[in-house]
Amino acid sequence: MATMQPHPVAHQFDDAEQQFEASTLGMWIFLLTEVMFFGGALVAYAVYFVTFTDAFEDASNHLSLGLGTLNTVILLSSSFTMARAVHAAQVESSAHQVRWLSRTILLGGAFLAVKGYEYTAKFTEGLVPGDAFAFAGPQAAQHELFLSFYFALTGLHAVHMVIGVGILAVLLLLARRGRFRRDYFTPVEMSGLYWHFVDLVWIFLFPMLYLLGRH
Amino acid sequence: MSHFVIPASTYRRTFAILIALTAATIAVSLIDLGAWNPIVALAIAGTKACLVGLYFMGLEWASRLVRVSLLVSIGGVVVLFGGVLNDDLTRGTKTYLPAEERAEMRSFTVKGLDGLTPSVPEESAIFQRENEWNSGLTSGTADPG
Repeated sequence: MATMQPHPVAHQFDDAEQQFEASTLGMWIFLLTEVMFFGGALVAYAVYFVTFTDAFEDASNHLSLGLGTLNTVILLSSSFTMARAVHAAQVESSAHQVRWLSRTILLGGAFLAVKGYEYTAKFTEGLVPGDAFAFAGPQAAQHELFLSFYFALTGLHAVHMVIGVGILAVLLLLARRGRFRRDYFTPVEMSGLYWHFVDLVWIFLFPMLYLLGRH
Repeated sequence: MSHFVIPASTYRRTFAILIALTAATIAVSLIDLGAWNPIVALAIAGTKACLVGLYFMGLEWASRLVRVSLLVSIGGVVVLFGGVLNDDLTRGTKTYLPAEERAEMRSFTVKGLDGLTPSVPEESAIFQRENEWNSGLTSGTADPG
């Protein structure tokens, strides 16, 4: 690699370090807007949870604890493999980058597959809010409200996952071409931040949606 | 570039703790702790979030600028939750609650700020509106129109 030219530094930056710092801060500013975005959705959920606590605890049992746990483990694992991909880019190993990025993509796909299975089950069980909502137990309207939040929150999260898998697919192609080296791995690190953020959102969604009524 | 490279063992350890905390949050959710269940669940989620942030996202080694911006946004979310829940829990216009409980909510006062605590009369417009919305929810149609 000694024969390679150093990665170019754009004219507005003093050096590569400052360029990297600017990218990092920019990525974090984006993630902060995402924190506010999900924060708004979660505060709406919190208001209805404190209002209809009992109904939300019952409605929570419509969700599968096993599948929710499985997806939590899958997503935490994918965060680990993503961290290892960033690490591989830092220590300049194209083969390791490709290996860890592929694993992250597979785990992201597995998460979405489980989510898709869960959604399908909700449709067949008549638990999708709207005209086809078939649950007729006590406090059915509140159960419907809980499931509306379930679909809205996990749906927003899943959209982020789909985008994340797309970004990782591009990274994988670039990594195979040896694009990332010890002096330039900014895209891998920034995509890693995004992926971990999506994991963070799920860390809160899992107990808030799946674990309310298990006791 | 003088970028700090974290040993891979740190990632393995963080991952193991995250899985252990996931098991812990499920175990705790099976025990009835009353109002403490969601609080404990959120505390564990917060701990997991800190671990992901510090070690996977590298906040432990991030610049002060990044950390301060993050704290500002978390502060914003805390203000959002605090303000909204403070209003919602003390407004006392929830007609699905018994009248005594509503009256108790409306009489909620902050020590030393008694004169400043607003009270909503039962016949006010906002009360009527919430009444319609709440009766829509309790009668089984979630859409108040």
